[in-house]
Amino acid sequence: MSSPIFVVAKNTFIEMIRDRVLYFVVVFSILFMGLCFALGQLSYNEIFRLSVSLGLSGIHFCFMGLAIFLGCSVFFREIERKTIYTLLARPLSRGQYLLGKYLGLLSVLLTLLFGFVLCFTLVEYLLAMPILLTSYYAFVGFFFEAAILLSVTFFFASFSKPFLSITGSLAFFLIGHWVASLEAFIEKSTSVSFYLIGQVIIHTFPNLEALNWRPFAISQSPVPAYELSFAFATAALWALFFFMLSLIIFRRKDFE
Amino acid sequence: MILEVQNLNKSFRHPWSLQKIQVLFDVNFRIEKKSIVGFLGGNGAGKTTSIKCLIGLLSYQSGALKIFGKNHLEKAVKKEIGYLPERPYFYNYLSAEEFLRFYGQLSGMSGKALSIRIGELLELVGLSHARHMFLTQFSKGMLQRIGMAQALIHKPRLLILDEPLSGLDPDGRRQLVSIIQNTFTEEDTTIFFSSHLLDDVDRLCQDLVLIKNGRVHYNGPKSDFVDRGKRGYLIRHSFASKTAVESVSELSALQLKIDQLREDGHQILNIEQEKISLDEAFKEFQGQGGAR
Repeated sequence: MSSPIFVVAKNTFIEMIRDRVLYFVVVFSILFMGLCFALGQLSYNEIFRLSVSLGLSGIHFCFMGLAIFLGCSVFFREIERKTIYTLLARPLSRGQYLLGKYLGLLSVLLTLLFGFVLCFTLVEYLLAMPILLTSYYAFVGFFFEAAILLSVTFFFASFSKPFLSITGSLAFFLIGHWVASLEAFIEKSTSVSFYLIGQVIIHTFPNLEALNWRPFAISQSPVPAYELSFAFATAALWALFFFMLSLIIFRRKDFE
Repeated sequence: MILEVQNLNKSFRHPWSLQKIQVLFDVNFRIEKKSIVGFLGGNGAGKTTSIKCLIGLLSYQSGALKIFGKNHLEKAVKKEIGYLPERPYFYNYLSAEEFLRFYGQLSGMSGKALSIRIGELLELVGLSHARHMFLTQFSKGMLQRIGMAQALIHKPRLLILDEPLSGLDPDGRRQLVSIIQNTFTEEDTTIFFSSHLLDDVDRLCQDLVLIKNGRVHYNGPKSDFVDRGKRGYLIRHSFASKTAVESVSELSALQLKIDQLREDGHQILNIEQEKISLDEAFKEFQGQGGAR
């Protein structure tokens, strides 16, 4: 007998991986990644550095977009089509349902990331660029970041409509990447209010730039083990934090 | 006791004014023995809200909801319930077999027993031919039937159906009515279903729960509800080759009328009690403001 969490996760994976809408987004993402690589090729020198940097940036942008799209759409669809009604009528707690959905979507993202890794390698090969292990650390960072972002979308989707969920998750993503710059800004600022607001933001949002390992790929150096472990722990804690918030709201949610 | 709802009160908050809007007022009803029970009421009467409270999709302000004598939200209780919401749409990219396997596994079934049950149910709902078809290719009637199959996959002792027949064409309704009848006769299942299609309710149900404006006004045998609408007696008699029909309202008046007709030399051909249909009884109930 399978665990209900595993059953929900497996069903979520199958349902999403067969959805044609997902493939439109994936094809668009691959084209975008190709464009980024092509832009890198326009450079007269530093072709490797620019191509890898732009290619990975393209993948990063598309992958986070996919995480937000999947997280926000899955709830909306389940409630809109009332599939959630028949699920919650089963001997399945709301926590098990939510965790099953989260793990299912995380496995979809992992599969897609594997696809991106293959595309990235293929492009590097076709452009006769050196295929280095150091380039792939960035993908690990992408996955950690997507795990946080997915639980953030769950949090927003647990109480708002898709448009608001997407907007909120996108804002979180942008602020998360801006935290490091903000820290530098407030150190130079003389405004007390700016300092206070900045401090609140810095301590409320995770620093997503800490998971950006593209510079390691460009400089062809490995990410230190302690940084990998710290990033994993940070990502897990942030993902857990937002997941628990979503669960608190979801447990009280009325399906009218 | 199969199902017992005691003093259920439910209110919603208006999204903007946050004003409390009460929709269920001390709802009380019970199902004591295996039967098909129709949950009747007009649009907005509180049928779906009551059902959602029972299933655990909606919270409620006060009341006690018990299924098989236990709290309705206990996992052991949920294992015994099958539920089909109104006009459901299921996972588009699962085949009928995968879909039923998913719901079976969620109810704790697995292996060969589950495979056999899937085959039985696809046969019962007439979808054996569509076993490997994706649900996105299903018609509305087929979706309703596969929905019934998911509700029945774990052989529930209580089946709760919310407007299962609405939105279906006559053929689809006939098929679903037959599935409900078969389920009731062949399995140990009590069926509680909401509907406003009185012909089907009349055909299927032995008992009724009637709700209006968030209050239950009747809970009991269908025959008793319809009998309350009896109007009197019709006497068909003839005299000198002429036949006439007369109506009297009460039994005492009937006796007097018979004596009088006999004295006048009339021949009494037959006497029958005037009955009304469930449809008429329900219309009267709605018109009376439910004061029964």
